Amino acid sequence: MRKFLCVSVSLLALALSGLGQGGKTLVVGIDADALTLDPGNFRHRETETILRNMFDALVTRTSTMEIVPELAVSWERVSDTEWIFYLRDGVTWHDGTPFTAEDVVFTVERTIKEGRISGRTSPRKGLLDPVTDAIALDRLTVKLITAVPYPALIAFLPHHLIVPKHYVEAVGDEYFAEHPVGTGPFKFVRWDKGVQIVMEPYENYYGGSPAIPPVGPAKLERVIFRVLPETSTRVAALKAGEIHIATRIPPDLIPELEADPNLRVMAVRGTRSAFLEMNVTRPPFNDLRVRRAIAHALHVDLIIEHVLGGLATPIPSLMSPDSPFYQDLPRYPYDPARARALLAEAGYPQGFSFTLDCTPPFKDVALVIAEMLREVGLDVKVQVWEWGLLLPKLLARERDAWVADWGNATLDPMDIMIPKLRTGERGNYSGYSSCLYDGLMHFAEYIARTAESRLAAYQLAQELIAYELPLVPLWVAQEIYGVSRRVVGWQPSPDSRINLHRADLLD
Amino acid sequence: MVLGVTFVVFLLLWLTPGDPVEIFLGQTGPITAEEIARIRREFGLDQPFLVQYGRFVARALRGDLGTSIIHRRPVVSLLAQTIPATVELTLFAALIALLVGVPAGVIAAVRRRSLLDMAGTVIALAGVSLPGFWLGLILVIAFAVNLKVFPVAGRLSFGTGLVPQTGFLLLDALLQRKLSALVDVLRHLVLPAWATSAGMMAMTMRLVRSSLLETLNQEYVHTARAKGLAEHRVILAHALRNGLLPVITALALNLGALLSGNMVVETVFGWPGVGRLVVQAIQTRDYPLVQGGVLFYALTFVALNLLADLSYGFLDPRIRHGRE
Repeated sequence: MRKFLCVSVSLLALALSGLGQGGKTLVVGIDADALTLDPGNFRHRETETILRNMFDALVTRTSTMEIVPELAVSWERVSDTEWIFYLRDGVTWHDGTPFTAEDVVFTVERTIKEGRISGRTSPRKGLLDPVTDAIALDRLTVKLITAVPYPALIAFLPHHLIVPKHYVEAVGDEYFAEHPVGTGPFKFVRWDKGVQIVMEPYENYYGGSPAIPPVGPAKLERVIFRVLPETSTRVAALKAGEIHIATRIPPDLIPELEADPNLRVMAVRGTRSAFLEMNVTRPPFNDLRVRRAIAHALHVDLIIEHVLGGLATPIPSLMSPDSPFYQDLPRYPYDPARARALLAEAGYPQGFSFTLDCTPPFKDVALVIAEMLREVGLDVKVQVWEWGLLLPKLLARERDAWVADWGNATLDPMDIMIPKLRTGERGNYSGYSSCLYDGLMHFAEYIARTAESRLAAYQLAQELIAYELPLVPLWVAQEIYGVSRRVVGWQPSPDSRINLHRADLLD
Repeated sequence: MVLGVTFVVFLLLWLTPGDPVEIFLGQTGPITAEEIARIRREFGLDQPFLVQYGRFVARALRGDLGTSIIHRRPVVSLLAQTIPATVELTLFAALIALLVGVPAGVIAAVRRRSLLDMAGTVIALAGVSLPGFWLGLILVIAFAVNLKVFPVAGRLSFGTGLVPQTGFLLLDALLQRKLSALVDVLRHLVLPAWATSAGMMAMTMRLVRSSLLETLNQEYVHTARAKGLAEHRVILAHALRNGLLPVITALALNLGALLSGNMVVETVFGWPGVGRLVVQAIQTRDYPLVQGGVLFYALTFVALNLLADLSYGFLDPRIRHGRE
């Protein structure tokens, strides 16, 4: 009996003797681990979210997506294809070495030249492609040269984190990818792969962008990004007080979080535009009247209100309302009678059958859309796919219609309007092809001399898409976070970065 | 056999629609066709099927399983990081299954058709039937969120001072003589191991019960009783010893199933194991990583089968000596 008691007491002690994280340690529950800690070697949102706390870029974005200086103090476009960046003095890497123009040149060359990272080419090359050269003019001045006029350059630069030339050359790419040294507010402590990444404030941090106060070293004593892939587990950890910020909360879990007095829900409009896309290369969706009938049959506001908990903004074309290129066009009004009339006019008075494809995150939305389309006489079946299986079928134009989205973290039309709808592009699943649209893209990308003419071209193209409807624009959904009430000084960012430089944790 | 498995998996992956490069690049950003072609070339995906498979086998024989397309790191190092976590969880789960399953089975057999036996049967049925992710979430809600006695997820808290060396954290904590780290690792292990072991625990219990019932009717048991031995000695020393033979064999075989079956539990508990890695690799069509993971599973199954075969001879001298 005594033995049994001893064992029971030890087990209880074992159960209760948790190790507290202690001090001001802010823990973020993130749904995926970083793939690498090398800012030049990934195409992965969560990796960028984590790395952003250890590395800085030439420019950054405010929480309202305005571009402001970071490692660069200012910049000027000296010709159509040449940009000069003046760098901040007094910035040091986490190992104490001063940051210079050589680091910027090294970073750019590592990204755009082939075979520079362990013999392979950076997967981020495409995000900086028109840049052909970087030249250090002096210790703190660097010139970037592009092959063609590239007005979108600045919009892409917040995503290119600068890496230390001296360190990478000394330790090699593979070591760097696991033991990073940056100029950011936090320095690397350890990476338990698949479990957590731990960082501590860099005491000599230059303070970050002066445009985003307060400027200075980070307030937290430690930051941990803990990997919790399962949504329910992230929510459980948040409720148990083990983490302070949980990413990617689905709308249906909001009431559960709101019911907890220690938690709050924070949401921000994201940068992914959702659409109902149609295969315009074959009947029935090659008929404009059919596509317009679909647009009239969808009650987008109703879906947003009831399926997405009101946490999305309807869009009339591809661009987010946060983008300076957004064109505020009228949306197709919900009008089932008009939809039926258009279908009859197109030769489908009895409607027709088709399958609406989607991936699991869009399943609820697709089911509601199918129901709305049934109201106007269409026989719609919903098929839920794993993305890897659906993608080749879309590219082969074997499907009819599908609900999907496309990311636009730069808010520049270049990485959504071109890949989605220009003839032959990799994201153009609808098979849309328009000389006018392609011409406008070409004009905006290569010919437009002024910001105004570029804006005009992209806005005209949005009008064209709203008219021709190769896709019915749906919405830009909000990114939802569960946050402990102890967290202050942090705002979610539309591009899903979690920058903890200014965050603090109340006792 | 392992070669056969890798060929089938290679073929299945090759036949499955989905392009790893397209998935890797994601639904965002501008990318030229040349860039996609270049990445394909870099990973040898532009080669015919047999060339790709031949290269894989040739490299695998040298211990090189290629580079993950998504992680951009050698597959061998990714597996080396995750295998210890999975093995540790599996062994701990098996230990729990045995520690609970064997005594429960003995009690059920001895008190046959009693309330205890029936309760055990119902619990075993539930254990076999409950899906791992559901049981895992229930355990998290009960013991981590409400009672706060175990952590929700993960493998080790920050601040234990433990430096992972072997990857087996229990072993590392013992080697480095860090009691607080050992306790922390054990606390993280309890819930996922419980969720993982439920099925095996139930199976062990039922197997011990039926096997013991069979041996209890054997003549040597009657003889032992007739000699006037105490009942607990008859059961534990005579009947159970023989009754455990099929249990141990089944256990070895089931360890393999347990290893591959805890992908879901690993996801629920944020456990950095091979299962989670392979599931992600399948979703992203990361061919080299899927191949590496499958090779690990195949080798483990082969090794466990071999162990089970050898254990027959070890446990039952009649088989070892080849006598009828």
